[in-house]
Amino acid sequence: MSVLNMFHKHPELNTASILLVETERQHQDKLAEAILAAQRSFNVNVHLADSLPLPTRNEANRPRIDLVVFIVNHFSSRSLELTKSYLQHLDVMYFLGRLCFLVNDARSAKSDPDKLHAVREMAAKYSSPLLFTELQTEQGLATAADRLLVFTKVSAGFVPGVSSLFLNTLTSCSHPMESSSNTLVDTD
Amino acid sequence: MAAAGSEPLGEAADCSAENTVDMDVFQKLNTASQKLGQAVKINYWTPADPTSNNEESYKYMFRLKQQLAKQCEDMKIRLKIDEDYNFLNPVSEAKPDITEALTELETAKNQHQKTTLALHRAQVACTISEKVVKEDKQTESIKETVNHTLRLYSQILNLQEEGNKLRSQVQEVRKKRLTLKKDALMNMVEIRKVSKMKEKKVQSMKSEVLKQGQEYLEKYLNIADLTENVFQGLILGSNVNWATDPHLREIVLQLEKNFSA
Repeated sequence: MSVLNMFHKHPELNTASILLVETERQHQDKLAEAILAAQRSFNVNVHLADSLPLPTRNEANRPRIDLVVFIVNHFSSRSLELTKSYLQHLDVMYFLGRLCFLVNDARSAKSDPDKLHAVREMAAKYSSPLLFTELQTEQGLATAADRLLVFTKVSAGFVPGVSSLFLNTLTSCSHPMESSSNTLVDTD
Repeated sequence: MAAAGSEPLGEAADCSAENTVDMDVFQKLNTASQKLGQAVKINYWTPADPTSNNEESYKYMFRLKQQLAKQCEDMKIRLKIDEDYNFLNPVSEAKPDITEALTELETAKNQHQKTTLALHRAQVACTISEKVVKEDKQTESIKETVNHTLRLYSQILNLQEEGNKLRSQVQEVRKKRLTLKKDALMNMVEIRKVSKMKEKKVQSMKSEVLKQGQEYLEKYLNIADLTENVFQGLILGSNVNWATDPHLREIVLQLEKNFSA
């Protein structure tokens, strides 16, 4: 089983690479553009994929991936299942802070709280951060890009003294509590 | 430190009135050492701004150096993981340590979040009070919102009190109902008991009375039969012509009827 490995390649000078994985390829492009347009002091390569494992024919040309972002579509349960299956193709070192889950438009009326709950459970299980973004607006895109760049900076080693595991402990998603129903029960 | 280091050099450059070449060299040395001093000062953490990506600037070089050092550290960590890997039971040995570390982590995180919140609150309160004192355009709106909030709070308190009163009233009513129900139950039980007893009595009495009545009836019937037979015997035995006398005829015929019935 081909596994995406973290330390099998040398890092490039002042360059970081992000891999955006999304099963339905809806928001990848816009997010990639926003990342490239954001203000940063290092070079960024954004790779787009819709599934793991990545095709082996590009193996040689691909640089070292510093951050893997899974954009989960929480309106379909299929996306969640596929994402879980992709996680098997990642090296262990990615789970220590170089992995990030992204959910778009969690505030919309169409969202199902159960599916959102399931995504949170998964993020908490792998102790990775879960970002809630609004990729429909430009401001939302810029914000998401900035947040992702912070993660990339740390996981690529551009911030001395802060390792990706440190950041992960602060940003990892916690297990969602069982939400108690707020209805008042009349005990008559 | 760097400034103090460069001063004597500058003075030395001024004092020596030799050829300008030397002065130029010293000046160049001066500027270079100043820059070096600055770079050393910021060596601990070189902030990254997009303007300093000039390939030749010292800041850039130092930043790159820090990046490479950090990346080497990460790779060393990876190697160390392989060294320390316990093949037999990788997780169970460290489990108590892991749980301890996790709880410590959670407490530290919560502490941090709490302090951040408190800090934010203090900052907000400070700015608001400053604004209110400054009598700006926003002071009016701030005062209005504060008053509105206070009014809402007092309303909330009043409503809560009312709610509490009503709840206690409801409780009392429920208590009374409970006691009434209990009393009703007890009364029902008593009534049933009493009615049962009555029935029993009545039945027993009936049977007694019946029996006695039956006994008496039988007795008197027997007596009547006896007397009738005695009369018949008397009449027949006395050789009286009973057909002529209606009374005697009645008695004998009745006796026949009784015999035939």
